[in-house]
Amino acid sequence: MGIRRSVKARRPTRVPGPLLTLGVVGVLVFALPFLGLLFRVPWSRLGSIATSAVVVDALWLSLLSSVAAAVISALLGVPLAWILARTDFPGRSFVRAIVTLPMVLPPVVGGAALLFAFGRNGTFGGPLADATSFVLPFSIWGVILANVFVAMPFLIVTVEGAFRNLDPRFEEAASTYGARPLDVFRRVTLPMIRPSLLAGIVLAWARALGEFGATITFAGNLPERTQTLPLAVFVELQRDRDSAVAISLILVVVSLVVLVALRDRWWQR
Amino acid sequence: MIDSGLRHADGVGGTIAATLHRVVAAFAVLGVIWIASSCGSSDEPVDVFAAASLVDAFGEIASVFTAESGIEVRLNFAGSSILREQILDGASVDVFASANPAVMEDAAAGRAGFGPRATMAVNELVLAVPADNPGNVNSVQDLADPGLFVGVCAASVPCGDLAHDYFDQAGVSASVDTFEPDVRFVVSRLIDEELDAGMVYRSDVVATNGALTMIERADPPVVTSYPIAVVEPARDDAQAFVDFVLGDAGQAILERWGFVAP
Repeated sequence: MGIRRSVKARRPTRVPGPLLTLGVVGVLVFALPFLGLLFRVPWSRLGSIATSAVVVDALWLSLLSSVAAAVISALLGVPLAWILARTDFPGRSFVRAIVTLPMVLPPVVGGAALLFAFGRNGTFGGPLADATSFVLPFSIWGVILANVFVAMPFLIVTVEGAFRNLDPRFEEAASTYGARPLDVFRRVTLPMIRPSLLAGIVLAWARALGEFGATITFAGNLPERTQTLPLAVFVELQRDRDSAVAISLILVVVSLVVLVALRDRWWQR
Repeated sequence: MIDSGLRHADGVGGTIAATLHRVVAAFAVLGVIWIASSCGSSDEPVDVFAAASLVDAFGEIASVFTAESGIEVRLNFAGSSILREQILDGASVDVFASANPAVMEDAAAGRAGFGPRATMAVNELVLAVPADNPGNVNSVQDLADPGLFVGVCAASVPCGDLAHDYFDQAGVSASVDTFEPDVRFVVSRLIDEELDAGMVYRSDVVATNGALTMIERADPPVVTSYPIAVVEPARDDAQAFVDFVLGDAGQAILERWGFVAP
């Protein structure tokens, strides 16, 4: 066993030709669009575009709403993931399907559903507006709700997997020594899944940062209030291509930096 | 044991390989059919790119035109400037109808082969509200109230420019809550009563058939004209469609949907 492993380590894996070809094509599917974007970047105007009011407002709004969405996703998603992983109740697979549906649903459909439910004239938003005059669409709260809707499933899936892979004997041992269930969850369970929890939060945050369809459908498009970076890209594409490309570059760089930085810290363990 | 297991695995592998071959073959056949069908260009439908505000009028014009001439029409509706970007990016287009001349001229300047432009209709921007007027809006001056939900088109599309002109002319600083990608987004938000008031075309009020109420028109009116042009390679079918739009039948349909003859 030991000998075989050391031999393996010395000889680099030989990739069969067909696999290599398909793998390279697979990389190109992602690499070529980014190259296309890079070739269009108006480098001389980049500074002035990046500091323009439209971009600064949208960047600030994007960061605020995506961080808020990631925090809310963790607050609601972790208990949900634990329940899904550790308990067995009728309809559990249905509940799991419902809470992960937005991962495959077109975001614009999610946005329309949010509008029908929580719009000013929606099934639940109507009575809410009548009672409190609080209206979700056209406000940052609408942006955050749309972000949570599309982003939380990524956290749930990641964290539920971690809960499942966790050996329950650690929690059982803690219970045996007299720890209350909530303390076991806080002091034993959560620390043990920390890498996955952080990965789930980052995934949810990244998904929220890039959210477009549900946001524009549910929350509308107003600079300083609901126009996040992806919405700014969409509007600028029709008006000023250079500006749209520059904003896209900002989104790519921010996402890439976060994914690369966190991958080595949390996902490779 | 081992032997039978191996044979079994081999059998499964063989089945999968055979299935894969069949799938690949099926795709190859489909591909050949698709290529063959797209070569016969005489039956190719006319690709018409039209401003979002033309959804109803052009829908009817296309079906009447196809019924009369047997020429199929493929319609693509969006905000005029979204269509312009698609055209400049090389989209396959035979006819372009935009909601203002500036967008049309931009497209023609950026891509060779635009035929002469003809003005086919005039439209007017108006202040509209949901039928039961939940915000109790009486004039454009009311739109300064931040408590009202107001929607207009983004400045990048023609109806956004017109809304700006309308507000300027009335001397009102409107408290806008959302800038929508095209006029039909404003219309549907009004119908859903998510908005109290919006700036839309007169033709949109006509098209919604009572769901929207026109509150006010600007004096003098804030108008835009709709140019239409054939794009190279100028096919006879495309020219026939444009002729139909500019002819009596097309003009009558446009008028019925709230447009005014140029």
